[in-house]
Amino acid sequence: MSFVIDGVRKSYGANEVLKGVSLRCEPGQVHALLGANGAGKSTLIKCLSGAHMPDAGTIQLDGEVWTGLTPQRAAEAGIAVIYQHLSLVASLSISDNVFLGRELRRGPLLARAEQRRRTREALSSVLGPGHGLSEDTIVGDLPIASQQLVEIVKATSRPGIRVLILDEPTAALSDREAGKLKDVVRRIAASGVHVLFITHILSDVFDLCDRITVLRDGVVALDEPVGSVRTEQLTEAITGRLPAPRRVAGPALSRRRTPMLTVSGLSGERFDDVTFTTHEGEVVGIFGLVGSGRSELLETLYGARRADAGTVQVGGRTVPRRSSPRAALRAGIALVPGDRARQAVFPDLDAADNVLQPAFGQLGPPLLRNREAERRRFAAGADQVRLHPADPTLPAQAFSGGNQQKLVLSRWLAAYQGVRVLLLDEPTQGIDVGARADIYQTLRSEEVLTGRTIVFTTSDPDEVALLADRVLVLVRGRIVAELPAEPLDRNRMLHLSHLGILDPVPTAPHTEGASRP
Amino acid sequence: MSQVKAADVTTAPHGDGHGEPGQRWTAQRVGALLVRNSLVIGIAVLLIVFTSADSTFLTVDVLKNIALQSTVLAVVAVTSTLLVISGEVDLSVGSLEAVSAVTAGYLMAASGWGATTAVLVGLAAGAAAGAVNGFLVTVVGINSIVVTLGMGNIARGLTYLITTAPVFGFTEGFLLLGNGTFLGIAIPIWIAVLVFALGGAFLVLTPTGRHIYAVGMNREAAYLAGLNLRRIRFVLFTLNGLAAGLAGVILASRLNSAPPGTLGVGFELQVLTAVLLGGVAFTGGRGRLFGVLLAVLFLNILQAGLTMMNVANAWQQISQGVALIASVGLDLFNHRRGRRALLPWGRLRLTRNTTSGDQEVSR
Repeated sequence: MSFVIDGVRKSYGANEVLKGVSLRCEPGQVHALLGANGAGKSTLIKCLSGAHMPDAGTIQLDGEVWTGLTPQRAAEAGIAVIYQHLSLVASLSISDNVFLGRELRRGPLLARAEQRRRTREALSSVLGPGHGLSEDTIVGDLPIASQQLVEIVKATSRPGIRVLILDEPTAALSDREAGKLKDVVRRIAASGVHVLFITHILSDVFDLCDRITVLRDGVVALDEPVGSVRTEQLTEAITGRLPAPRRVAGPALSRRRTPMLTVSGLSGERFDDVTFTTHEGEVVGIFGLVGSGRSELLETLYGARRADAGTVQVGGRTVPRRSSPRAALRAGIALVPGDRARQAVFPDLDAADNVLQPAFGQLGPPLLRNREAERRRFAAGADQVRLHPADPTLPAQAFSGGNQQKLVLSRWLAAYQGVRVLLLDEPTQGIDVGARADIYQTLRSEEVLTGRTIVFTTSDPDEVALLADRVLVLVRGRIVAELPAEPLDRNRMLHLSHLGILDPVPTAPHTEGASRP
Repeated sequence: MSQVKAADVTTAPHGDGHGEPGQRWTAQRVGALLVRNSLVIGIAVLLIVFTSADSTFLTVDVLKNIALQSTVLAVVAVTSTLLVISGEVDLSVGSLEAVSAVTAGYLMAASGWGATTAVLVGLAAGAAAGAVNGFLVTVVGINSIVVTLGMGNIARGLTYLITTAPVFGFTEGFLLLGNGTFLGIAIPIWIAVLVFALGGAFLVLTPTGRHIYAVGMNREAAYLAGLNLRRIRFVLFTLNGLAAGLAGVILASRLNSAPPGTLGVGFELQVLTAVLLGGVAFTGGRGRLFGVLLAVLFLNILQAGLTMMNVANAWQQISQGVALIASVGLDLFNHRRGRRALLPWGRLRLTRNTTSGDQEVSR
């Protein structure tokens, strides 16, 4: 009676993401799945949830072999996945959400009283006594942590649930909320469900889990009972024994060390009292996990979110507190956002229109375009970022992910003039190795770094080693350490970010939604 | 239960279409070509059918008349195209047309103003109402359908406040606007051509023209690219009000009357029909002005021909509706075929020819 994944392989094109992953979960146990970004965790989950079909391998549940999983078949098999983006309908009550899509009926009518009664039972059996939730509460009125619990109740109250997969459930929670969640997970495991718990936070593993599997580069790098693993072993399994890659060659740092970006005491949604300075020609990495506040920090610097306190200066001049991307751009700050598809790319517009949007108004006489200058800037940018194919008329969606990212990068380098602080949020997430190398080369080139400073966020230790001159470790919205990037002590960096020790960790303030127009 | 052996899992999807035999590819390309030029083909078919029904249909006079009939719609369709590409919609243009026409007409007929100043004030009224739409959508943040639906009612009501009876008795100069000719061509046609040219130039030659597509396609990305979302959309609403005003005074001049209760009623839906028939995506970000021009001509040729053939008004309206749905449906069908996976039966048909087809079908 167990949940066995055997030899699962998955490639996207030429890129083999899972190279034969096997693991075995026992009922009643909480099984931790760890791994750096790109190790294959998400792909494995997608193979289990039926979102993607593996190229090879089997999934066995209590002796039955399940292949060709689709989302429906995964549900039939009793596999439920809780993603970070919850799938609840905010305007419905808890009981309506729990029974969404499998409503109870009495004849042609909805058996609402029965649904409410069963939801009430499920809430107290899954969450334990004193959970304080009413089945009639509208989900949208609940804080995120409670919504997550509702999602778990919804998943586990389906008949035949046998496997519960949680994708970094504690990333966005405060310590107290995380503690409550862990209690719930323990209770679910105790009822005989297999729990696969994906996390970046080592304290979760040691508090909660019975067994650990670490993925690295699509293979299992470690698979041990929790009791027999030390943290050094874990971080090593996550990062690998290989020495940190050498930083991409770049220009020597300017001797004068002119401060370019000065952030002091900046606080906002999900980050608090952030202070740092970067200099002309310098590349600074912000190492932070999901939920560390890294995206919020960059978006606030760029004026897309409101800062609660603190100041931002570029070249000695203060950026107004009530900022906007337009005001930030005037001050010389630009952002390559973290979510390419949602925040950066215009899929049906051609490459030139994607690159030149902010630059159109800079090139011609007032209110007019200058086609010749546009053509030259696009070509210069395509050359600089090694765009492939360098065709200005191709729609953005025809490019690979890596080349779409190059389009966005080119927008602020060759096209729009006046960027002195370039912010990049997870610049190589979901990008193939070749394009990644191109982007590193571009970002560390003399041409780009002259008169500019770069600040990027990442959760990939190798990216820090390759790209950064210096790294700030961001844990739950606070910078807990500053480390040199050469030589980079990867174990120390991971240790700090996963455990979040050094400073007492503040409870992440809970605020709803970003302020956007 | 469908539990398959492990070996069956290895299913590389074959039917992605690119490497498929020439015949299908050609058929698809021809299909795409037909769909892309469906309006040109549609206009040609209409001309052939109507000319064969009545040989006097394809004459310069008839065509000139169709062009003249198209002008009011064309003027507003241009600015509405820009607005829909930017992801917004304006349902108040029919009432704004009336406000402008009644204002200008009343100033001339009841207050004895000159034609030029009266027309300018009429246009200003349209633009001002458009600016209010723009303010409410971009600054206050109310959905544009709600704002312009409300504005449509408000503006219609305002025309009744000005006067309840149809306004007539315009100056000679004013009547020239809708009925005069220049170089043998009616002045409204010149105006429509000018508006069309300006709209095209705006889209192609100005930075804002490029921004409109970006704003309509991905608003968050446009915001993060530093575009001025508010200014862009505010300008478009104002221009749309101005164009509605222009259409209103042209119509009043042609009718020699400005009836507050009937002028421009249902016009907003005609405009939207033309814009969408012209291939502009209702969700924003996609569309060409030329397609909308063809759609305006198509709708007016259809109407003129059916009128000539004494087809009942009911059927004229039905045929316009069918044309709209068929055109957008065809476009969608073609789009999906291009992407291959979205239509469930499209996927089945593609995989049936492949080695793993049976399994795919059975899923």
